[in-house]
Amino acid sequence: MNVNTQSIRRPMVGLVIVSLAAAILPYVGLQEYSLSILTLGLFFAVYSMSWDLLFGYAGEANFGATFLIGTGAYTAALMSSNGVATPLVCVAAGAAAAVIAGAILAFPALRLRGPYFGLVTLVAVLIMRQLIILFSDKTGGEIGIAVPDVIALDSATNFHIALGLAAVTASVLYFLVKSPFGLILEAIGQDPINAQVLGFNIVKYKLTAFCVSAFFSGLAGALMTFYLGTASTNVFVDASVGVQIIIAAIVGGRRTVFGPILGALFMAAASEYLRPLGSLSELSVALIALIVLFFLPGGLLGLVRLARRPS
Amino acid sequence: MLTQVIVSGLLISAIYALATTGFTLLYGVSGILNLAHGTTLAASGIATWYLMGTAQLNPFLAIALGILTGVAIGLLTFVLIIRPLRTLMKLSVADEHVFMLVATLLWTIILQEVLSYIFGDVPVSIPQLVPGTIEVFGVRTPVSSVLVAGLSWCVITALWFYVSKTRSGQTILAASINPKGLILCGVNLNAVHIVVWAIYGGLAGLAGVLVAMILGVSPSGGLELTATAFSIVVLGGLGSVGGTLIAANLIGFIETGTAYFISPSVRTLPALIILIIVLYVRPQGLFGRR
Repeated sequence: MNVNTQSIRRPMVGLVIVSLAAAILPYVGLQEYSLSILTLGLFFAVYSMSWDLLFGYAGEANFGATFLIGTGAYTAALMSSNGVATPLVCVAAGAAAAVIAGAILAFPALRLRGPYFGLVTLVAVLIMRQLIILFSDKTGGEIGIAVPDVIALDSATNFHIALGLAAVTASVLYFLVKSPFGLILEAIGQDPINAQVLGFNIVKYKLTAFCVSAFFSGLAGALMTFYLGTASTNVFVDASVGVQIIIAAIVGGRRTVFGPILGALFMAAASEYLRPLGSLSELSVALIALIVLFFLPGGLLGLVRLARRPS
Repeated sequence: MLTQVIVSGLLISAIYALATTGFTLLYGVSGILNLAHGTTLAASGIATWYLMGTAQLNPFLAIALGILTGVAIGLLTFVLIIRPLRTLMKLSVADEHVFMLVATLLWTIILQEVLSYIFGDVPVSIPQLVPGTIEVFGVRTPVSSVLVAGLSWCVITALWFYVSKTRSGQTILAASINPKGLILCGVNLNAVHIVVWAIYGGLAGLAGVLVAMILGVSPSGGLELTATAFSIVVLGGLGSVGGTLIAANLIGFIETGTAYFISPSVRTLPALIILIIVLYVRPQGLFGRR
């Protein structure tokens, strides 16, 4: 793909520098507890970036992010707990399963216009949750399945896995959205009829975007299962987890790729520091997201851009 | 057994029909899918439960206040979420629907957390208003369930009468067909929207009270109620009130049949699967226009 290398060089260099700087965090006295929050925040960042590929670029609100994440997580967990394969094979299978499940879900759903796509994806999560609870003898129901294997025990290694995954996801997605494919996808998101008139096959582009999103969601879901040591519905297959992913993307900055990382880390920090507020913490996070949505449609990253270019 | 399924199916379908007409009306007139629908229902149910139980109000007064809660939330949704979104941000049509979905979803979370902060996140149900049971086709049924079903159909009929026979109702119908033409006729579109949201809130409020009476509601159960309402509306065809009524009965019977013949734990599953199949085969719904 011929990408304008000049335009992506600076953000890429920045990403590498930030990732390398973050990679030494475990060795400069960051506590294990903070490290575990950061690790979860980074997995969350991958979910959020993948979600924003559909929302920000393809213009589709996918309420079924946890359907893809859950497919990855449960595939890996089921394979591992039945002793079928080693963790890395399980993770690969989880990512593949998420892409297949995503394609089966999205191919017919993407032909639907308007709110129908969002609905189908929302219903997919509800169906999956019910099925998991129904077959609780295999899936552990609401309690979840314990995963016997681990990829790494050491918290620094786990942090590096999450960091590496987030960095790779960010670079691949950034490269993708700056490529001709990404530009066409953005055009489709902003004006589907005109894009169709120009001869682009809307369904094909959206389906590809959905599969990319599914791949990273499933991969992160499977890796996070091994990090947590368990796959349960409240962590992986839950409409409210989907809402948090959406909030992270909006707060961080829609259509920016890097914004959702900021948003996800913000969410991880917010859920820690707002814990004294009890049940009001989710309320305040939703409120912040709503205010950002109204007054700062570019999110946190949009704010940075505004400050840099005073007009 | 079969008559039992038919009778309970009829009762539950009546509530579903009432609980979704407001949702359809709103979509037909404003083109908005309000994801906070189920939480609005839950809020009215919980308010009535609180006023009746803890505050010891007269049941009928409590129900009236519960319906008013629905109206208030409907108007708040319009004033705080929908109108700012349309006036503050100049969105393209394609962007507007995803932003609308996301904004109403965030609003759902806010409502839900406020409710569970004040009342606690526990399922509540409103006691039956009228004690006793009667035989319907040889099936023992609580009197108040029959009353609830009757009331639902009366309200739906009244709504139909209002929209098709009164001047104010015709204005709403006109707003759904051609809003620009309506403005040219000198009608204040904003006022029409406020009336629609108030009617929507009233319908949702009443439905919430009835749902709380028969099934029970909880703050975090709101999203699932929205999903049920959403499925019914889409199955019937978005914006088609007649289709919604038929779909409400279909879903009601399928759910009841599943609960009786298979297991109560998979009650909602077949309806969701049928919904997906219908969407794939006939995306405009059973009775929808393209």
